[in-house]
Amino acid sequence: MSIQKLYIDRQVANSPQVGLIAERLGLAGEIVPDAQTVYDAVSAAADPVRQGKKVLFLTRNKGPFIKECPGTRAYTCCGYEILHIGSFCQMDCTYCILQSYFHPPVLQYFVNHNDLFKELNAIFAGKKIHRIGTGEFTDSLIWELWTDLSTHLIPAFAAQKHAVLELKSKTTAIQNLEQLPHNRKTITSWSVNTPKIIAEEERGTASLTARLKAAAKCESWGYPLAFHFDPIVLYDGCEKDYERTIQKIFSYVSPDNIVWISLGSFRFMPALKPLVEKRFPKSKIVYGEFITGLDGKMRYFKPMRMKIYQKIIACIRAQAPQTFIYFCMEDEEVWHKCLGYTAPERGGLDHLLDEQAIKHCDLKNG
Amino acid sequence: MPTKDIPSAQSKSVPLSRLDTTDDTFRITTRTSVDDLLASLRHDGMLNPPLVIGKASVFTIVSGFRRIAACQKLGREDIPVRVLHPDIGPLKCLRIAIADNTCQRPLNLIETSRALQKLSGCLGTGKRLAESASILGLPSNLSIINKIKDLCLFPQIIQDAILSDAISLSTAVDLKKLPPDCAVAFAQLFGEFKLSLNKQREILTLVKEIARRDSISEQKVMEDRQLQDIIIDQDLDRGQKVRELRAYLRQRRFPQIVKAEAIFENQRKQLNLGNDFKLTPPKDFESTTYTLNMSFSSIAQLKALHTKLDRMIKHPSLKKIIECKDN
Repeated sequence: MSIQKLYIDRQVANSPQVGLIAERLGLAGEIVPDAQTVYDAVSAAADPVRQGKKVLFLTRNKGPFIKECPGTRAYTCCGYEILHIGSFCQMDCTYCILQSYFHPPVLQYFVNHNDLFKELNAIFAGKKIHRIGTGEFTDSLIWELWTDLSTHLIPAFAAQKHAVLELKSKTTAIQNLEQLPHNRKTITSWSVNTPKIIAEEERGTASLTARLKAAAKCESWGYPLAFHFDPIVLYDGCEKDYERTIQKIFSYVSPDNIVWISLGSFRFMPALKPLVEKRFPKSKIVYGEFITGLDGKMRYFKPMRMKIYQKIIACIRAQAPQTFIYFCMEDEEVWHKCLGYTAPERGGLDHLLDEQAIKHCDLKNG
Repeated sequence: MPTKDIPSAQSKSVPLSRLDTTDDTFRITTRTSVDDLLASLRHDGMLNPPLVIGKASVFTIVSGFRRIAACQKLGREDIPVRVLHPDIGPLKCLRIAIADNTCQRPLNLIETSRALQKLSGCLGTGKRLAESASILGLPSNLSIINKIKDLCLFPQIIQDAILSDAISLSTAVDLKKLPPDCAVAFAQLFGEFKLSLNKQREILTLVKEIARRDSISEQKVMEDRQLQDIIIDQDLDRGQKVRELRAYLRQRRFPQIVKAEAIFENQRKQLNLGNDFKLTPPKDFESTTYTLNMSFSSIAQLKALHTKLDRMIKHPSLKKIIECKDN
């Protein structure tokens, strides 16, 4: 979906970033006194979610740029930290939690990068390992067309030894990454799914082949890689499709260069269901066998989740026995029955992921 | 009565044959019985004459449909009416008709729907409709208006079910999204089984989700042989039919979950716990924590339970339950 309207927060109107983005978009921005003006305009549309993808609001992040991943106690969380560069996304995935996460959802980008780098520098000055990603509240790479964020972020991470940046995407917007000094401190990662799910539920995203070609390119430029099977969606024939997807991944990239692969089955807040039914009446993904999880989210019945995980893990291990696999938000029973161990038995998921980051990205602990 | 303040209304007596009782343009009431009016008309006459409008030989009734029907039933030839000036537009007539009803009694859902539906024909579906509705004592929230105003367009059987409280507004709103035949089938089912709102919602949701998942119509789900067999089973009473119907639909919607529940139940029976223990699985088998309750009133009884508990711990079925071997 292309940006049709650019709103500029009055407070950042003079930021050099704003001029650059407006020029690249070819849009004259409308200066607004506050975010409410934008929210009101988006909310007035018949489909505010769709409308929120057609406008871009340039503003400043008034809160912290680095946040903890909103995991819950009931399930094992990866301890990833979010670099909050902006929110929402232009692509239109049926299952996207961001549709109901923001009220209303608006594509917004924060231009007060002095504050962002101040926070990052504080982290870089410490001794603790940090795994930081930009792909939680938005897609990491959609901003590449209009901003030069990666050209600042990647070299900044490259110049230190305690933190790794993960850019998670469903796009192929990697052009800006080729010439950057990354020092393996940036992991380029892709959300992957079966071609059927990509075609039917991930509107506006790159195909599986295109994503894997982009991953192979990044690998050739020396970047470490990661893949995220999330959300894993159950349907008739999904097991075979996931198996083929895994085989395809390893036909493009080397297992040795993969820092981690995460698995997470489709889960959603109950509020998302009516939204999906309204916006995507042809989609069937909310009609699986869901139960209410311990965190209040709807998730597939546990034996069904474990069955598909076991298949996927067996398939990955057949291709890449050494590649680290973890679950996004699953409990110890799932870990034990599907991976053969629980995260606490090996020091916790945080520790396991830090180890992978140290190994693949040459981080220094302490 | 608001109609008394209409200066242009002219009182006169007209032959009943000149009133068009088939024209429902301004009919709000759903009540058809006139028995409650007969005695009053016989003893006291027409205290509040109906309002009509018309230029030529036939008058359109604006308000007083039941009073006119009662006079017909009494065999009267003439009736006192107040004739509105022919230049009064349809919107004004409609407002008078609605006010004549709302000032006397609270309107039921179908009457409210009729009032809103007719008003929307003149005022559209936006702010003007909401303002007019508010003045006339009707719901003025546009979202509520939109939920209610089409109810009067439903097939009569559904309207009757709404009027008899067999289906709620919320269910009716859901039925609106279905093809008419299917909506009628649901209304008949809910009417026959006198289901609570929660059960109506549950059945509607299950049918809708099965239909969408399997790419078939809701009607097709409802026509399923097994489902129909439950509905027509002479050996089941109403409560049993409802239980079986819900269980069948749930099994069709959540086959794996229902299967796991059945396996658990089977294993629990093998444990032979009787009434001494109550073993409860984690909700939806999501967590790993099972609950075991027991009650006792003496130490001797507790000792007996202890022995039984030991036996239970060693029982292979408990292991199967805990390890979900059969799931």
